[in-house]
Parts: sequence; C-alpha cells; structure tokens
Amino acid sequence: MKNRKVFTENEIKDLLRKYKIPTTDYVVIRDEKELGKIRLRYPLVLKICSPKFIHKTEVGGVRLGIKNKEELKKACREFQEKFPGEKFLAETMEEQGVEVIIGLVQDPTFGLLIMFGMGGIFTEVLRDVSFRVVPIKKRDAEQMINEIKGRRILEGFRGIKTNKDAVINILLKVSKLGVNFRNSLKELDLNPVFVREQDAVVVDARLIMK
Amino acid sequence: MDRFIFSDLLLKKMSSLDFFFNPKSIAVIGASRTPGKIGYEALKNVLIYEYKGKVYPVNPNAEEVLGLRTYSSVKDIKGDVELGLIVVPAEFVPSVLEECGEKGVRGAVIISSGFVEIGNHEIGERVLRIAKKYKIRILGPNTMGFKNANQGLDASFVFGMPYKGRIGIASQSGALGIGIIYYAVLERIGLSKVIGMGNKLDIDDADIIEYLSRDESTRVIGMYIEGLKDGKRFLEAAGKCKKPIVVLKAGRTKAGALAAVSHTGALAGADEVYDSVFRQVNIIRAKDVTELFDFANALAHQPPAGGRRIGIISNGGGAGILLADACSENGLLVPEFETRTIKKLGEVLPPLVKPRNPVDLVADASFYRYEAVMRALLEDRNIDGIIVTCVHAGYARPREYAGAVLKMIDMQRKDPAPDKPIICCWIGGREVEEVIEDLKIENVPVYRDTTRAVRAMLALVKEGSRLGLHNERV
Repeated sequence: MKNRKVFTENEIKDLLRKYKIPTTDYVVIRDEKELGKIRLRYPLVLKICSPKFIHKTEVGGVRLGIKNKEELKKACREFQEKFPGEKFLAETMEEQGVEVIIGLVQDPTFGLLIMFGMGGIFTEVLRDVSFRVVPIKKRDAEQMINEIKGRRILEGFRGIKTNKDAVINILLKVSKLGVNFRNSLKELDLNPVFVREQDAVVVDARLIMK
Repeated sequence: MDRFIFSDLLLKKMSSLDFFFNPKSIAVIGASRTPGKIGYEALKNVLIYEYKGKVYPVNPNAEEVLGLRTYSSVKDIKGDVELGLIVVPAEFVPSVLEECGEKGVRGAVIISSGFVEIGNHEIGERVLRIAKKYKIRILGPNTMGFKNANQGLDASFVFGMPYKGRIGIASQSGALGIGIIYYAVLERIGLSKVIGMGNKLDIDDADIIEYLSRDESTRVIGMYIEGLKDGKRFLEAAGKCKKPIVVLKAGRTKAGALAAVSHTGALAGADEVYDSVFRQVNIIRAKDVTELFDFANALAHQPPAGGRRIGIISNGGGAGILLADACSENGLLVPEFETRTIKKLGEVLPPLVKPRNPVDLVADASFYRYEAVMRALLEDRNIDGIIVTCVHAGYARPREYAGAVLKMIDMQRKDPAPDKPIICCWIGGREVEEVIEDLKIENVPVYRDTTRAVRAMLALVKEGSRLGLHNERV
C-alpha cells in the first residue's frame, strides 16, 4: 500500500478483513464475459471500482437492487460504455440496517482521530458526531456512541433493533488499524455501516493516504 | 530497563517548575524609577506582598530604584539569581538573556512584547536558542507574568493579589488573565497561582498542567486556552493529571475541515474535536469565565458526586421546578427518595406539603426545617448530591437557611462520610447578597441562579465519574 494515495473499494475491503472488520463479499470484474465468476446471492449491487472515482454515486457509478442475471448483464454493459477500461465490483446487496459512519482523520493539533456518527444525509447537516484520539479503549467507544444525539436510535427507539456491541467492536478494530497507519493515513471513511439486530457490516469504504 | 527509569526520573526532575514559581531570588531586569512604567510596577509588585527572597533591580542608568541598590547587569549581582523578570524592550531581550545564562539564572519571565504576536518570529527563535544553550526555562514572552498567591509573590506588572486558595489558573491571554484575577477577588474565590502563558515560547499548557498537578497548594486547575502548540503532549499531561482540569477554550473555528475529501474529514471541525478529546481525558469544558469559576470553585471546596441523582431543597415551588428542569437538561436525575426519608420529611413538613423531590419547604420555612431536611437527604441512599435553594420571598429567612447550610458543611468537613456534595443557590437582592458573602467566606459554592448551580453540580458529577466513583455511566 506504499506510494499510493487513493485505493479502490476492493483493496480497502481486503484491508478491513485483515483487521477482522466485518464487510461485504465482493467480486471484481472487467466486463460481461467475467459475469460467470459471480456466485453471489441476489439482489446484487454493481459499482464502479476505480481510483479515479472516489465519489461513486455522484458519477452514476452505483446500481442497486439487481434482481437476476439479465439485469446484471444489462447493468454491466451500461457501465462498460460509461466507464470504458474500468473495473467493476459486484456484491450482495446488504439487508438495510441503521446507517452509521465510522472514520479516521488527521487533526493538525491532536493527530489521528477516530470518528463515530449517525449515517445518511443527516450526518453533515446535524454534525452529530463524536471523536477520540486513537488508540481508544472500550469505555471510549461506549462514550463515543453515548455522546451523539442519535444514540436513541441505537437504543431501541420505536422498536428498532440494533447491535450496539457490534458497533463498539468495529470502533475498537478501526482504532487498531489507525494506530498501525498513524503517520501514513490521511482519511478513512466507512460509510455507511449498517447496524442490524445481529451484527454490523461495512457497506462502503474510502481510504486516502497522505 | 534501567535506562528507561533513569530517563523517566530525569524528565520528571526537569519538568518540575517549582524553582520558577517559588524562586529564592529574583532580578527585575529593566527596573524603572518612573511610576506607571512596567519596569517600576513589576519591581513594586515583587516588593509589596509577602515575598521573603532576595530582590535585585537591574538598570544600568540608575543607582537605586524603590530604595534598592541597582546593578548595571545581572552578572554584577553577588548572590545567586534563580528567576529573572525581564521587562526590557524586545530587541534587548536576547542580550539580556545571554547575560542571565552566564550568571546561571534558571528561569526567566519575559514580560516584554514585540515577538511573534506582531509577526516577529526571528527574535523568538534567537531567544529560544539562548534559553536552550543555558537551560533557562522561559515564561512568555508577551505575558503579564505570574502571581503565586499562596506564597505572596507577585511576579507580574499588574496590580492586585487574589485571595489565597486552591485553584491554579493559567491564561494564554494576558488581559483576560488580569480580568480573571479581579473577578475572583470580587467573587471571593481563592486562587493558588495565576500564570500568564503569553506566547508559550517554552513553558506551555502541558508544562503548566504537569507543574500544577504536583503543586501542593493547587487542588483544581483552570485554564484559558486559545490554541495548543503541541496537542499530543497536552493530552498526555491532562490524561496523567490526578486533579480536575477545567478549560475555557476560545476560537471555535472550522479550519481543519477545509481541505477534507471524506465525510469524516468534513465533519472534523476544530470545536467538535476539542470537545471530544477534552472528554477523552476528562477535562471539564467551561463556556465562559463565569462557568470556569463556578466549576472550579465547586471542585475546590466540595467532594465529587458518587452518581448523578440529585436532591433539591427549596423554600418555594418555582425554584425547585427550575432546578429539576436544569438537572434534566444537563443529564442529572431527580429521583424518588427512600421510604425512610419520606417518613422523616413527613415529620418536619407542614401537613399539606408532599414529601417528594424537589422538596418544597414552603414560605414559612425556618432554620430547623432546612437543617432537618438537608440531613435527611444527605442520609438518603438514592441521593448523590444536594442543591439547597433560598428564594428571597416575603417570609423567607435567608440568613437562617445559610446558617443551616453552614452547620451541615461544617459537619461534612469534620466527618466526610457520607461524602456528598452540597451546592447552594440563593436568589434575591441586596439582603441576599450579604448572606451570599457569608457563605463565600466559608468557601461554600453558592450561585445566584438555578442553571449555574446545576452546572456546578454537574462538574462534581463529572469529577466523580473521572475518579471511578460511579457504578453507572454518566
């Protein structure tokens, strides 16, 4: 991972897996001839997978809810036309959960920080997030969750069931990753992370090195 | 291993700044004969309080200042000089400091301005090089100096000495630092030290925390900070500090978020980050000068709360409800009392008054009613701290109620078990002000409004959490 600044989703997800951070199973393909490689459960998601496109949704590089082979083939052809020469990532569309964001960012005063917040469009509008300097302890992870206003959603608001321990687990592992890349990492974005009744899973990720 | 221990000890020894803030001898370099000049005021301030060490004015153009023989250079002084108080213009500071180094001076307060604050970086770097060469510790430049109230030493150019006390204050801003001293005097809040950090060329926030955390006369550390030079060292020092730290942080900008690509980056605004990392090391953040002292005073004179369950006593329903609202807004609980407490309250309250939290002692409350109810609440196992209120209504007897508080506090200080904090809230006019004064003289934390009282209690709850006294999370 040396000498590069931007990484593709599959590379980042491999890194997350190394740190035992739960994320999606994926297959990377070049074109429709490789569709046979895909043995994933439908519905699928197809995404542009290139260091040139960090913001995938903004360039129309994400296709959700692909129900069968025909739809997959069609989506793949369209992507090939739109992004010639690029690779694509197919993965099972994860069952929706409460969306949260977990990240790492360099602060000019305090060094590498870990962040937690509620995900989705409200993240930036409400700035409902908390930070800690890495490494964090379990108590810090618990406090990070308790500090945000949206915590009630993670505490069973209106019968929504979420696994808070799974979030704490990811926070601690991201902190560990952060310690190992303390000086070289610029920003890591795990967004969204779906928090469900049984578990939590990183659905999309972005990594930028210094 | 041995090497590690050695370097650790060496570091501890070197970072001890006791010689600096409690020096055996002081040279005022740039002492002036003209009243109003900084060089005159600084020397006068060193002389007029209780300082017992040797004082040497340095001025090559005068034979005596304020009745003391002057020296043309610090090098001409026969005895040892531990601290130099430098008030010469900025351009002369490097040469004066060089002389201090040759003389063996260990610390220098550089009051002079004209350094990085006016864009002059070069001269500061020269000063720092000289300081490193001779191992001189520097406070400032561009600082008011410091006041060691407990030792009666004023090493600043500003007039005024705070009451002796337990709160050590450090301020990055000189003017605000001065304002803080006068505020503390007006509020009758005692201070152990007031330190102007100025440009923090050498001694910075982390050094001050390390020093005050080991200073016996300081129980609480209060700081005004605009920006930190070394955030990591600051957090390390704050994390290790065994005393509560209250910080007033200015500059709520979002500079850090400008160049961000990710969501995380865009959300990492400076103020949110400060808020979060302060919590990580248990720093209590105050939003203004009033809160800085409200928190520090409660922390200095009342025990930490073992939980967040608050009992409220008032002589009128309104104040009780306002306090309960403020508790709720600040994450504190106003729980039901134990059955035995309800029984005890039933015995002292008028028949129509319900014995519940907040307790309304009603308009005709007396010394006895306040005392009995305070005692009952302090013994209640559902209650971690109490807020006692007096509203100066028609039949109220503020002086009697204060008497009951003083009796309870006296008991608390003699026998600290059960160790529960008592916070007062006295609302009224001139007559109440006199009573507040009596409470303040006895170092009882007393506030003129409900939210201030509750927030002071919150500081004690946070301190209890820092010390691990809570079973539940706060």
